[in-house]
Amino acid sequence: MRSFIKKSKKLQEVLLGINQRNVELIYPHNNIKNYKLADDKVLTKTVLEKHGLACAETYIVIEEISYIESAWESLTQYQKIAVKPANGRGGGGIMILKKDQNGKDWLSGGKAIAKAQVIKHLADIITGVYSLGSRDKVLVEYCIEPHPFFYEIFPSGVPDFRVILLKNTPVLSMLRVPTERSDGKANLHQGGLGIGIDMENGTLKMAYDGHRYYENHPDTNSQIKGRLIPYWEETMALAIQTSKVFPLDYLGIDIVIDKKLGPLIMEINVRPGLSIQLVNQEGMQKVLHEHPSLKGVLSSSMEVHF
Amino acid sequence: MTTYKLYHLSVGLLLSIPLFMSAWKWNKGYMDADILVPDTKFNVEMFCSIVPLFEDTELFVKMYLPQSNQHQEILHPAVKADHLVFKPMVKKDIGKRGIWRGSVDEAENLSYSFQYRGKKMKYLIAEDLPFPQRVPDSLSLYMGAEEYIQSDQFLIKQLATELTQDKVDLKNAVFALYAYVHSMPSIKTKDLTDALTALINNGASCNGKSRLLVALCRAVGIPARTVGGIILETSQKRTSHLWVEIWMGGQWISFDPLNGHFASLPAHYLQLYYGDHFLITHTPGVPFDYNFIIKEEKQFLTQNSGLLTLWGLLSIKDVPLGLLKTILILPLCALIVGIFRNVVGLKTIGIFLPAIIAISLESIGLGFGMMAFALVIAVVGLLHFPLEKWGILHTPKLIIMLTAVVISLLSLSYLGILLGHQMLTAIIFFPIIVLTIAAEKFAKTIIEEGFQEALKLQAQTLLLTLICYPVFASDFMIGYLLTFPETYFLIIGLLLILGRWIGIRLTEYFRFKALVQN
Repeated sequence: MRSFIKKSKKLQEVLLGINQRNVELIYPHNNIKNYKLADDKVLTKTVLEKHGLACAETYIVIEEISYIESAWESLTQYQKIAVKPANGRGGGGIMILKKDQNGKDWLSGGKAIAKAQVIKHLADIITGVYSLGSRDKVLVEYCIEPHPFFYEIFPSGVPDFRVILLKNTPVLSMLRVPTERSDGKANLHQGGLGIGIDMENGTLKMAYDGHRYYENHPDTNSQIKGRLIPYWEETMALAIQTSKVFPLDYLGIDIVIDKKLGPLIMEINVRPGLSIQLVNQEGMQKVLHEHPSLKGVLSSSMEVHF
Repeated sequence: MTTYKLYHLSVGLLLSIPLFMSAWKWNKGYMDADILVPDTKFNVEMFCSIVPLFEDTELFVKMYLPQSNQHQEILHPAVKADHLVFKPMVKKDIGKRGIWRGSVDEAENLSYSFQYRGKKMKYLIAEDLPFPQRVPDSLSLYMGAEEYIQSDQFLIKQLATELTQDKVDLKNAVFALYAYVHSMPSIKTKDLTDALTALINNGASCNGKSRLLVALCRAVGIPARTVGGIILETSQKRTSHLWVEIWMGGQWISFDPLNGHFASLPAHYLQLYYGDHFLITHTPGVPFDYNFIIKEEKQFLTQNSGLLTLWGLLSIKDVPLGLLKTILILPLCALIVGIFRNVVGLKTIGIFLPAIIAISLESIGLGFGMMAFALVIAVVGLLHFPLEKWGILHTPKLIIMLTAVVISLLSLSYLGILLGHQMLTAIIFFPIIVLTIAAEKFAKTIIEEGFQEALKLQAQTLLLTLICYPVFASDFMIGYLLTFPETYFLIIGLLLILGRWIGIRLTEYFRFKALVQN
C-alpha cells in the first residue's frame, strides 16, 4: 500500500493522464470548430497544399456519386493509387490499387479487382459506410512507397512517424512499425510496434509492443535500437512547419517517408493517444515541465486545476 | 482569471448551500426513518376454479379469508363468483370463512380479492416469566393432542422434557424448543407432515416444523397453536404457509421455526386462520384448482410536508412510484458512473448505460438480468458483422439491430411463458433503444480494438451496473432525495470539481507504472 501511494505520487508528477490531457492541453489549446481541419483528410490537405507543405499528391476528390464514373476514367493514367474516405477512422475503407504487369487491369491486395467492385467501394465511401452514416468524400491520392530504411526493419506495410507538438514545439515522437501479428497495420493496439525516438540525435530507441521492450524487431530480429533515421531533420522541420499553419496548438502529426519524395504528412490528429509515453519510457508531463519554452503550460502537479 | 473566479464561486455555493440546507433540515428532524421508507401494500387475489362432473351439480368451496387485526389491515375486499352464492361465516378462535355454494352446469371461477397492509410485529418477552401454572379454560383447546399434533406421544414428550428440564423461565424454555425445530433440516415438500413424522424424519417443511413446535410446547404444558396464511411477494403461487403462536405472559406471540423468526412476525405474512385446519376445502372428487395472485405496491404513507422538500410530487396521480424513483435516482447513479470513469478509469458502454441497466434490472433480479443483458448485447452485436460485410448503411443497420433486439426480447419472454419462468418473461421490460446502442458499440469495439477489448468493455459496464444497483434498489434513497432535493446541486458541484480534476486514473496507474519503476 505504501509503495502504491509513493509510486502513484511519483507517477502523478511524471505522467500525462487523460484527465490532464483534456483539461490542460486539448480544451484550452484546441478550438473545437477547428477539429474538422484535422478530422477531414480533404480539408487537412487543402491547408497543407495552400502552404506548400509536403504531402501525397491529391489525384482527385469525389464528392458526388454521379461523378464516380468520369472520375474513375481520369484515374486510369496512374499506376498506383490510394483510395481513402475523408472522414474514415482507424484505417477503415482505405483501398490500395495497383496496375498489373501489362498495365491495364487493377489489383487490390495482389488480386485482380473488377471496375464494378471499385465503383461500389467509392459509392460506399460517399454514402457514409465508413463515416458513421454521414455523407463523405473520396480522396484519391499518390500511393506512398516506403523508404528502404523501413523495409530493413520489417519488409511490409507502411510505417509512420507520430510527432506530438504543443505550441509548435515537438514534445515526443515515435515510429510505428507493423509486425507479423498486426497484419500490415502499425497501430499499437492492433499488434504493431511503437519505437521511441531520440529526437535530438534522430535515432531509434527501444521498441514496445504493449507488453515488453525490444532492441531488435521480434519477427525479423533486425537491429532497432540506435538506428539512424533518414531525413530526420527534414521530418522535424516539416512537423513544426505544419503545426504552425494549423490553428490547433496541441496535435499529433503522422508523417511517412517516401522512397522518392522524402517526408510527407499523412494525417493530423487532435486527440493523440497517450501510449507514446510508454513507448518512449518517458512521461509527457515531465517533458513539458522540463522543456524551457513550455514551462508553465501545465499547472505544477496540483490535482484539482483551479 | 475571471473565468475561474466564477467557477470557484459556483463550486463553493453549490457545495456549501445544499450542505447547510441539509444540516438545517436534519436538525429539524426531517430525517426520520419512519418517514423515509415507503410503506408496502399488496394487492391479493385468492382465486379458485371448480368444475362439476355432471350438469346441475351441487358444489361448495370453503376458504379462510383474512381479517384486520393489530398486525394486518385488510382493505377493499371484493367477492367474485358467477353462480355460486357466497356466505361469510366467522368461527370463533379460528377465523373468518368464506363459503361458496350452489349448483352449476359448467366450470365456475370464484375469487376473493383485497388490499393488504401489514406491520412487522416484534414481541418483547420478559426474562423471568414463569411456566404457566393455571391456564384459562378458554385456552384448553390449545393444550391437548390433535390428529397431526401428537403432543401425547412418548417421543415428543421425552424430547420436550429433555430440552426444557434445566430451564427455569418460560422464554428460555420456548427458545430451546424453537431452536431445536429451527435447526432441523428443511425439506421442500407440499405434503402434509404431522409432528411425530417430522421428529422421526428429523426434517420437514413449514407445516411439519410448525406442528412439531406446537406439539413440543403442549407436551410441557405451554399453550400453542398453528397459524395459517400466505407469505406475500409479487408472484402467482399456490403455496400457503404455516407458523406458530405460543401463549406467553397473557398474549399470543408469533414464531416461524422454518424461516427463523423468533417472537416476531414479518410485515408480509398474511394471516388467515388459527389452529390446524385446511385453508381450502371443496366438494370432493371434482376437478379443482386455485392460485394466489399477489402484487406488491410501494407507497409513502406519511408525507413529509416540511419546507423545501419534494414530497408534494407524490400527490401527482398516475405517476407510478417506480417512474418517480427512476427520475430521482438517475443523477446519483450517473455521478457514481462519472467517478468510476474519470477517477478509477473504467471504460463503459455509454455513460448512462450502467445506471440505466441497473434501473431496468429491478423487475428481473440482478444476476439473471445481467446475464440476459450481456447475452442480448453480444448476440445482436454479432449481427453487425454480416451487415458491415454487405455494406449496409448506418441508419438501416441500426434499425435492423433494433428489430433484432425486439425479436430477442419477445422470444425470450415467450419462452419464459412457455417454461413458466417468471424472470425470463420480465425481460420484456428491458430498455430497447439502450440495448441497441450498446450492441452497436460492442460490435464497433470488436472491430476497432478486438474481441478481447470488447469483452472487457462489456465486463466493466456490468461491474458498474453491479455498483449502481444497490443505490437504485434501496427504497431509502427515494425518501432521502424527496426530503433533501438540494442534493442535486451538491451533485452538480461535485461534478464541476470532477470536471477539472487532472489526477491520473487508477487504471492509468497500472498501465503506466513502468514509467516510475526505477
